[in-house]
Amino acid sequence: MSISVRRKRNSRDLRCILFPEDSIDTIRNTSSTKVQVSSSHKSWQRCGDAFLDTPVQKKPKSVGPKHATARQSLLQTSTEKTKEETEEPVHIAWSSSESEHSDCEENNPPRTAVFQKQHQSRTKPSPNVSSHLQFLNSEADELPVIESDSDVHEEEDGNRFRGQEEKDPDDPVAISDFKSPEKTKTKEKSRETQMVPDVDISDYASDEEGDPAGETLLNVAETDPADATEGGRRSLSDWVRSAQALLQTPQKQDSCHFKTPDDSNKKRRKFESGGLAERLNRLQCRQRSAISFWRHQSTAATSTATGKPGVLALRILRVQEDCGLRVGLCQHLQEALHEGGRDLVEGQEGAAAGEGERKGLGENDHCLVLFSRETASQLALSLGDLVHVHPPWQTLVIEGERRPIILNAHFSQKVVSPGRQGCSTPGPWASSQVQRCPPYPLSHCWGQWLDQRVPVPAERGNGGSRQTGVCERVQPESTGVCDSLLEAVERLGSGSALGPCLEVVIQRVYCLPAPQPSAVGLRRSPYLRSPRSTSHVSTGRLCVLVQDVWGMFSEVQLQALGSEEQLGWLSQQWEGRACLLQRVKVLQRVTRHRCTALFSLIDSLWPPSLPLRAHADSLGCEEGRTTAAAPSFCYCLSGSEASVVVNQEEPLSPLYQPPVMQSLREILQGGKEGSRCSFTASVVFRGFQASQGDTESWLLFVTDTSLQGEGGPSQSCLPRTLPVCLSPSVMLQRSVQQAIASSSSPASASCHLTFRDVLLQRGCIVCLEQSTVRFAEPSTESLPTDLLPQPILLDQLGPDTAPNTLCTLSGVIVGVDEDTAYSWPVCSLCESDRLDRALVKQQGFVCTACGTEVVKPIIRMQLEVFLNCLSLNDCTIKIKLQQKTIHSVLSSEGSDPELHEVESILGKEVGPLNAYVQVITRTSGLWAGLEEVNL
Amino acid sequence: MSSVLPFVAEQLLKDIEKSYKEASQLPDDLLIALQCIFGSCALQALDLLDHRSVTCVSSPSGRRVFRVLGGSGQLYTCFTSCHYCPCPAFSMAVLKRNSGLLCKHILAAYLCQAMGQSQQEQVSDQDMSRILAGQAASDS
Repeated sequence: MSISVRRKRNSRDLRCILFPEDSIDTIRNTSSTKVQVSSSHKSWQRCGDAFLDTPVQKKPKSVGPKHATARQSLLQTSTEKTKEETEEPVHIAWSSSESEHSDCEENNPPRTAVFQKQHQSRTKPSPNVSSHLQFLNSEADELPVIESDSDVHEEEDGNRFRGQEEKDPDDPVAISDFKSPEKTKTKEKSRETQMVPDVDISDYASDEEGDPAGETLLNVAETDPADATEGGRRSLSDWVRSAQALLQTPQKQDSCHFKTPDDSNKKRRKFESGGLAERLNRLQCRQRSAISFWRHQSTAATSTATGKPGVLALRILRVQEDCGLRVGLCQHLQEALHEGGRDLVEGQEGAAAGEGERKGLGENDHCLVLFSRETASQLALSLGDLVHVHPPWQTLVIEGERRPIILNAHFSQKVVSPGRQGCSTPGPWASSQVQRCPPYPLSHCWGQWLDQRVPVPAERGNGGSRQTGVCERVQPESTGVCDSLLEAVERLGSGSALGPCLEVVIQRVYCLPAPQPSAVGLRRSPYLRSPRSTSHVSTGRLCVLVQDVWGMFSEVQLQALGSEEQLGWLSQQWEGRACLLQRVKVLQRVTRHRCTALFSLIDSLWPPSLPLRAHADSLGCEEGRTTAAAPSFCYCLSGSEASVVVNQEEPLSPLYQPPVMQSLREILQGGKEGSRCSFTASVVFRGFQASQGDTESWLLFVTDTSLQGEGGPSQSCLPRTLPVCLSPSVMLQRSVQQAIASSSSPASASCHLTFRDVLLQRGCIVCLEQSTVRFAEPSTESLPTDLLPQPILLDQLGPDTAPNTLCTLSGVIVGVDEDTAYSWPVCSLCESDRLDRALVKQQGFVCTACGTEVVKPIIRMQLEVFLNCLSLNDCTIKIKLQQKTIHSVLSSEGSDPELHEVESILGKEVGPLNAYVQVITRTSGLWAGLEEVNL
Repeated sequence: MSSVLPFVAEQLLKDIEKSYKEASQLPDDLLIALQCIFGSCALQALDLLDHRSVTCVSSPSGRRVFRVLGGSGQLYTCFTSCHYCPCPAFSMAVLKRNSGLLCKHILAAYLCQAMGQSQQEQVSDQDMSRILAGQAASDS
């Protein structure tokens, strides 16, 4: 238990405690001779066994020899000592069996010889060891005072004792829990370590002499700890408490980092699939999520909420620690509204007895509430406090006990009334202040092992007429329709569909690529989305993003889309409507970190347009809406076509936030990095595709009147066109694909598209999951085609031009890249370059593509020239020219079409040319690689 | 106020037994309640249940003990007449610190008993004596 305390000691103390052999010289001869237990080596072996299933003990190494090595290394240098200290398994193992260590030394005199010699002067008894001896001997039936306390308490005690060793070396308790000052930096870390044995000690082999020891332990456990504090240690304990004020123990950090239940239990284990443990583990995870979400919301709203059904208003009358839990004797209060505000009427019965909020509570207004230690410390309870316990909580009625027991009071909130704020004594309920229950008698076997049980008469309390054995869970809503996503998920059984209908609002309808059937039959996560293949599949899986009135989001994946038009139609019909979700299953829980794309969309819908219902308080919801951050997790659900029942008759829900259409100028000027935005724009050019395996991303260049308008962009440094990246995960209708594919052809009409919920990232627009790209509807067209200038205006190539942009330039040819200049014939009919030389005739070709005989093929040329740009000095510009420009450059040349002199085209002026900037380097002067494009 | 948690635990086990008799399964509410009362022990005990690690050993004389196979392969003998388990968690959490009601082995035995899932094994009276005397603790 006190491993970490020992780890923090100075070297001398470390030596004394870390190894059982070492402590022999610290034991009084009279004490040590009494005890005969098994060899230390055996003990170490068992200690190792005890932690075979702990995550820290991965290596199948022998523990015994390791200890010997560790012991020797400790004596060498301080650095080595530090290294040894970090070996958690070793230390934990020792501490868990510490009661045996002290007994082992005499059986191993050779191993302890070195230490005896080196520390002969240290003849004072180790109180820790002697206390264990007493513990084992059980003559005194005395629990060690400090060690029997909680970890936190012990930590504090350690602090109090710090520095007292020199003053009072004979003090038995002081030595046992010393910490060296230089070790205090690792206090937090060691506290974590301390928590481990409490929950994770398992399967430790007991000694052969376990039976007598067992009897001893039983005797010890049956004694009252109050008795244990009698005698000499009582005065010391008092002294410790009085010294606490002088030493000014630092404030504990526990309350700052409140953990949901079992957060500290970091052990990862594999449970049997479909087993009870797996079920409970999943329930725990959901409970943790619900608690953290609830706490997140309840921090914003702190006023009273006793009017809500299911919320218990309790006055704390007494708290005691009972087997690791805090049991609070509480008085159930009934709320009444008075003119001046809310008052709480204590102990009134009758009127509310039949109401749901009194469910499970008997005629007596007292009840017992089991708080976990974390909840109790987070609430920082003190006597007389008013606590609201929000559902879900459970109530259990015990046979013969009038007072109901409230379980799972995780959703508890302390209410500080304005009048009490001044007089109440805040501060966490220190462990020392909580009265501890005496250990329960171990001879009382529950239910006589159940099957041998005879009907037990009610032995406690005066009740007995009530129905007992009811473990009833009080939920916030008990109707068939649930309005909370979290609650529905929480109620979910093992793998089955969500039970009740879920009332939500559809915020978005979009399409995700359907998962590709895996050849090896691997189960794929829905978030390992299959990328869009080169064929750009146009159908995928219909998805809706829904939100409940509590603000929680969920992505529901529905059936595969039947047709391309279905998405647009459903989007119109469903978005903004309230709907009932039924028979949906939970696919997975995703977090902000794991699924940034989805959460960027959720962030764009936050804060909600309507005050949300808060778990904590319906009155404080306004603050809750404005102050609470967007959720950090959500559930992905899966359903079918029939899962979504949309109520078309009702108007659009006030919770719905339609996409806000903005101009490109507004997006560029006011758009937040990483936010979602929506706009309508014209595609002026389809850029080059970046292929990666069988997937490809498209780069489009779009513009609208706000960027093309006169005087705007040029003065505000905004570009004339904006690149839009279509990631493989965005689903495109086939018609949209075709329109985009032809948008680079100059002959095609401009393609006007509406981009919804696209991501603004590093000055570029990215279409990804949850984004939709559709043809702009003429009715809502904010950018009429005729308002765009023809030709489209582009930015002048300048020193600040970025790669992957469009620009315009004019210049004089100063050089030709002869290595890349060549020409080739293509079919005059189909313009295919798959020509074979005709065998029959000496001249002419046969096109293998269309099969025609090509007598006079068209000559295509590639030509890359270096330009001296008028607007840009000291810059090397290389541009790959289009056929039209090449012909115009070469047209004035000599008659031979196949022979051109380089000198003949030097000095010729070209432009203005529209070009795509492929690469810009600025290492040694500006160097730009461009490719002429046709818009 | 005396310790109330053992009575809560006993009632919960009765609930579990009743519920399992009626529906042959444990509702989520009871699982959550188990977790609330027994803490991390509940999860570990259910894991032992899932792995069918609990055996009820009985002898012709009528004596019975539960033998629970721990995660490390160690066999623990839990008695039917009192709460005792030779595992270190029991000595630390239950006996020494009084911070837990039971260890996972005893809880697993209780749950097995409540759900009627324990494996049955008959031994001779002699073997039972050896088990009770702790001499057969490390065999098998």
